[in-house]
Amino acid sequence: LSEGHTAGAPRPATSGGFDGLKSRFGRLFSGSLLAEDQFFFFLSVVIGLFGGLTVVCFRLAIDSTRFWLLGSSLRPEASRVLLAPTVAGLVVAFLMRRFFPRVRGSGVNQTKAAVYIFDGRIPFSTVIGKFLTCALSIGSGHSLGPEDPSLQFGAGIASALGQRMRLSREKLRLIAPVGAAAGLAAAFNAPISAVLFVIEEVIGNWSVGVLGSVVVSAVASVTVARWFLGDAPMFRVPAYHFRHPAELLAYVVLGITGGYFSVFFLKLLLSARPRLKRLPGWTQYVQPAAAGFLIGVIALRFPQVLGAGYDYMDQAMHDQYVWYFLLGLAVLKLLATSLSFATGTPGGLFAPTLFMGVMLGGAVGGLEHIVFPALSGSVGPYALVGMATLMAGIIRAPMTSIFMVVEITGDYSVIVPVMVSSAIAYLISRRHQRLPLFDELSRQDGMSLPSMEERREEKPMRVEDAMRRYLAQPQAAHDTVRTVRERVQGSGEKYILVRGPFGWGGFPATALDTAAAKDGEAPVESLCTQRGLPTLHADEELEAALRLLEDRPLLPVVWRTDHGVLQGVLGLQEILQAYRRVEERGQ
Amino acid sequence: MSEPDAAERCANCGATVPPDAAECPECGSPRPPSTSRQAAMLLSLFLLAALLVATGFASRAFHGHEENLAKEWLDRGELELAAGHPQAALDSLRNALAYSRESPAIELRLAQALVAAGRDEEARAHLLTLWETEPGSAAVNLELARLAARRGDVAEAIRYYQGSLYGVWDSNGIERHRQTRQELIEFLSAHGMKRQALSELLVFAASLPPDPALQVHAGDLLFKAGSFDHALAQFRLAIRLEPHNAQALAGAGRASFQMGNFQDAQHFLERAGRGAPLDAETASLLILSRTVLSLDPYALGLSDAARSARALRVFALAQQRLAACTPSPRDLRSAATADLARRAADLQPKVLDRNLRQDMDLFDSVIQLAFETESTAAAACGPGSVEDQALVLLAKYRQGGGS
Repeated sequence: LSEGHTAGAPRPATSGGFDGLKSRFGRLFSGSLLAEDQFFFFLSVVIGLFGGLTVVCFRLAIDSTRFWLLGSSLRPEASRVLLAPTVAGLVVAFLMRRFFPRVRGSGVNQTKAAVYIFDGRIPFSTVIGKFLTCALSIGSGHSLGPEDPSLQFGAGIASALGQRMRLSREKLRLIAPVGAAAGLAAAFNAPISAVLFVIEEVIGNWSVGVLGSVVVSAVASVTVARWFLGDAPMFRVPAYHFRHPAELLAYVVLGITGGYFSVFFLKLLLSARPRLKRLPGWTQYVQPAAAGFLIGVIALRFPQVLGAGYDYMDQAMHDQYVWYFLLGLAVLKLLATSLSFATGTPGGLFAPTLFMGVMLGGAVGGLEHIVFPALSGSVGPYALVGMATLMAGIIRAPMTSIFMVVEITGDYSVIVPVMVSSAIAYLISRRHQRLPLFDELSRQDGMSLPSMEERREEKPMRVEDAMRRYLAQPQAAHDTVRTVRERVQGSGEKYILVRGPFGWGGFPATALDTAAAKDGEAPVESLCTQRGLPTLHADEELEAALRLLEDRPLLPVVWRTDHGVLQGVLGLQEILQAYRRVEERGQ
Repeated sequence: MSEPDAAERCANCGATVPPDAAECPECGSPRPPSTSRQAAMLLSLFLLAALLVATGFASRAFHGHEENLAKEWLDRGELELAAGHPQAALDSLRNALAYSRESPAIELRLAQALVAAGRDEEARAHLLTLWETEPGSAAVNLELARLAARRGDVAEAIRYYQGSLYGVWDSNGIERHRQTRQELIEFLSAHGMKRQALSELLVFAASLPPDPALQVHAGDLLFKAGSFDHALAQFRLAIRLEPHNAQALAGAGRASFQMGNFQDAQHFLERAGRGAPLDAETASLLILSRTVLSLDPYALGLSDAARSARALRVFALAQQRLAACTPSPRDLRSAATADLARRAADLQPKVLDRNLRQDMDLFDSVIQLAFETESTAAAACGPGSVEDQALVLLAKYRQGGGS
């Protein structure tokens, strides 16, 4: 008992027991113990845990659906192969049309839309609908993957929690990417890639405020996923040893092939999707079923195209198929995925992209092994590099592609070939397809979302592009008014910069005449209307300079090595002129 | 209900904040944290705990189902393999591996099935993956060694064989290590690497249990590797364990014969012949041993008369051989045979029983000439009769005199 309380008096709320606990808990989240930023960080952990658990349940749901609909064999019976994706397509279409209209597609651009258009709000019904329809479509054999939906689950859960916790609009916008990272990290068992993807594709910048939350959320979700699904890498890759620099030539060929393959896939998908969408409304009920039937027909002979296809990727990496069979599988998967995705069947594009990459890489590797036996070894490393190559060409998130391959295989040895091949495929894809896949999909859906790739390409204007030479030399604070007046006469400068113990200061030039009439021997420091002016550096962004300028007529641009030496000056006039010049050049 | 009401007011401007708004509609300040946030967080944590438990149950049930499926497919694969349906077996084993991806046993079984089906590259890829995670697995190393051997990559095969020898077996390790070493020895011998084979053989022989059959096998391998003394020691060990082991006796006889110990060779081969009929090759060795012993002019314990008689017989046999063997004039050895014939003609008058008993130098010269004659004739005209072969052997082991 604390001092001043008698035994019979009621206990204070913080003294212990359930009431005390309740009070402490209340204070923890009501702002008296945790600041808003700290609460956001804590919430990110909770989101990560939710995201991880949801993804685990999603994976179990997909696999259970597959057992139920297709059986346990990797080569299902013909009747199941034909019926399962067709009937599932009908059910999915019905659910989409009647109950969950927002679950079409992969989920990545929907998450971006939530961030940039809907203030981070994603209806929770979308999460439920996405879970059900994707489990059914992917489990029944539609050629789609579970990763992009997982990203949307994470974002949806984060959004729901953020709304329940009544986060501010700014925080609510940030919470969806935090959840997206959690979902993707758990789906791929790859936290670094998930963080990179969210930064590269959803947020677009390395803001410290959100980076910490994205990281902890991804780590929390991966921890949960590994606990339930095991911590083994997604693929078991045969050992690879880089033998000779000439080997890189083979990967250059793979990069070029992968680049053009990606372009073909993108063109096919992006042209088929709006055409199918424009068909009469009733056809939307049968389109996924028709796609499912066609995929079933393909799968009668090539069951490898069913579902995400991870088991077959594993087999391809272990030299199970000859090169022309691998090439055939890559082409068939391209068709199957285009069919599934273009008809609006919910599901992701990551896994099909990886599948096509593995098969194409294996095919190129197998062919090169025949033509140049000394140059190439096993097909496995080519399949692995092909995976990253197609990721770079189709998804167009190059850093994510490189790190994802390293993370999902647990093998660092292929990093150099991966970088070479991915870079080539990325450049080819950019040359022939202006907008990245997810941005183009958003535009097809009538949403104008910022393209992170375009943002990365933007060159910000810098202070050096706008600053001008200062025509009157800067004055020392102890110089007399008369001296300064004589010095600056005829310079044309309307604002006089003074350097003194206070740093940089300044005053209007007109003040000199008045002050000279009163007391010409007074130090010029006495005229300074502004002291401690912020200084700029030539390499700083103009946007940042504009914020510092406020209502000041000029700011000094100084050398980074010596803040006392003036390099130039910058005012509002100069900034406007610089922007005008850029505009004129653009026209 | 005064507390919630207070929480609905903006802390900045005092305006009422609607329940579903995240910020003040008047000044835009973030909504003050309220009791609804506490409740939401409590509810979230409760849901999280419930989801965790539910996922745990679902996950356990699912993984259990997967384990059962893996076992079922593995059993089916084994049955199909046994029934001689390799393609169906491969499909089943792949299914098993899909449901138990972390099982090295299933992947190894799949690799073995692939090897059996002749799909070496695919098998090798699986084995290399296994090797990456378990470089100390004797079974994986052995399979990789066999694949390398089939591919003709001797260096890689030896490396993996060594890896298997130093690796760990799941069961029956000693026996499997022995089999692996034996396989390595055979591989080395087949590739002409006799020295490496011999050193492995010595380790192999030293590690054998007291089993006559194994000792005989080791002796045979040592014999094939050309290490007749070690082979003889191994056969003697087997004979000590089983004195009437015909194979051991025959082996010891053959080893003794190769070492020029014709007395022991005859002894062992006769004992072997008593237990079981000798094969043609071993029987000829016995005959040859007997002939050598009956012709040897330097044999211990011979009287002067007997020694002289043997010398006369040896000289006569050599002359007959020389007379029967006439290389073509183009053959370089024709000059040597002519020289031998001239020397024999010079010596012929002195080769008398009395002279041979009294003059040891003459005795040695006669025997030396006979040995030279037999050796040259064998090189020029082939092995000749049993006596001629015996004299060639004697020339090999007794040349220069001696006991």
